[in-house]
Amino acid sequence: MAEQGIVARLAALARLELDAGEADTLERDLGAILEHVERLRALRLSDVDATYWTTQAAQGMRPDEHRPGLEVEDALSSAAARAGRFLLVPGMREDG
Amino acid sequence: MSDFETVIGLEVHIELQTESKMFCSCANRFGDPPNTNICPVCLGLPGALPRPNAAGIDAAIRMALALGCRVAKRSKFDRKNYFYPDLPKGYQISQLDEPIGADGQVEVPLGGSVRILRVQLEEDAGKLQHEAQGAVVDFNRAGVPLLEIVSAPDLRSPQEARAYWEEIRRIALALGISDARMEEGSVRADANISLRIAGSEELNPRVEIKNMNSFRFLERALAYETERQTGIYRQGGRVEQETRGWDDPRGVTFSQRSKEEAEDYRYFPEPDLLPFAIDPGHVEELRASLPELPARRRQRLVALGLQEEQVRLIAESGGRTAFFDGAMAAGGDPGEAAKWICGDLARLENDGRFDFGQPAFPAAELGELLGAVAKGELTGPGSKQVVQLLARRGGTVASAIAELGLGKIDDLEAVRAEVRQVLAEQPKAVADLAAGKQQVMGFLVGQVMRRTRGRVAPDVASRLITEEVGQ
Repeated sequence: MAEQGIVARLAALARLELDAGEADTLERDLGAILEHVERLRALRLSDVDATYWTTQAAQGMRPDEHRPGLEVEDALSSAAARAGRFLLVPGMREDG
Repeated sequence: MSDFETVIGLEVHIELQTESKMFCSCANRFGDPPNTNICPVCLGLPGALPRPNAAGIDAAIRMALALGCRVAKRSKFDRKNYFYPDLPKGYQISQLDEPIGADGQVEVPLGGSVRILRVQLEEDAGKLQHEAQGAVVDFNRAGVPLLEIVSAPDLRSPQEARAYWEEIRRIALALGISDARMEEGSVRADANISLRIAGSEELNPRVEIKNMNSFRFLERALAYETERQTGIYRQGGRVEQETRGWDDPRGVTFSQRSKEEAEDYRYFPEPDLLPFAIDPGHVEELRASLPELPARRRQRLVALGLQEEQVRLIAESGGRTAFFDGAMAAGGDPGEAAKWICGDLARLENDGRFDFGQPAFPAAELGELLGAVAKGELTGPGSKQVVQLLARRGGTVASAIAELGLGKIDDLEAVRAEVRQVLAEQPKAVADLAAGKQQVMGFLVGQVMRRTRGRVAPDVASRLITEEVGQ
């Protein structure tokens, strides 16, 4: 089972508003996923290489052409705060 | 410890000049209004998938080849995870263990041979500005292709580090893969610096100075760090492995944070991008298309007998080199052509009135001009007027000479008549000259030039003035 309240915490971090029903459903789903991962832990995999990709295909490339993307108003409509055309984030030390 | 040796390695970042970003189709353009070139991919919106730009890969291969690197047959991208508001995805797509190029070497003027560990592709972050109400973010730069060139710790002084960085920038310009504008932050460098006892092989804790965008800052910051670390060791202390910033107005480095190790970035293969093959045939095509590189240019110009400063000025620009070559091809003397390119034409370029990349007149006309001067058809002062006119309006030397009426006055008696006129108008200068004040000679020659619009050779004017005043 997922830890009590973890969905609410994740939702807050992701700035998602969930009603009680959605939170319950997600908590159940997350619990089932974690249980499945727990079962996988029982497998002995020390001599198996990690699988990063499930296909042998090679990455296709894109020609170097540009086209319009998002309008700034659309892009910033989901921002928590903005300043003109900029996204506004809390201040921090310059060096990061 | 007794005598110390400085050990420096540089990571140079170069923004590539492509049409579109590295992993999405947003325009890669500097100077647009904030958040103009953004899309779900470079903003890291859920469900958006990256797709690599073929031109970015080719640019990286060309740089790898120019630096003598081995180009990988297979390469891949990795995620470098860190959290900062200029990085919307929470990770940067970079390369960890399969970079596009590895194991190269570059010859640096004065700096000897520097090994290149790797040439890799990654994406730039957005731009953060710190303001009173918080930090504001512009994502136009997020996802712009960024080439990272990592040197071995082979540099032994701040001057060598600077010379190496300058050479990498010149190579990028020669390849045409970046505009390499320092003032726009298109080229930046992180430096790792440590000290050790001269001649030993040990590596002491190193300090990383990040994100410098000026050659002068780099040199000053490294000089300061050398002294700071020397002081610590001399007092029996230990240097902390950390990241330090450079405060240019105060001329000091300051502690920023303890240095991350690779583990802190939780690198893992980018699951949204598959590994890719680099076709050796394609690599050979790119190799064949490489232009003449700056080191080769310099050798060639030195062999032509140009002065060191002329070699430096001409070789650092592809446009100037091509112009020089064009003048040579038209029969110009190398030394004379270099004088024009590094003198009058360079000054016009600085004033924004001439562009060697798109010259207003063909380089062959400079060859013609040199020929006309050599044959005595045009005087030195007259040739300057011709170049000014050609730079302004284009055309040919022949048409400019005709238009300006600059055909040299060859008839000595005609010149003497002009000289006499000038002397008659300048009794004071004549008196001064007669009294032995040689400095007025330049003035009088200048008056003759003015009167004849430069159609008299200055040495002839000077000789005739002496004769006339002496009589």
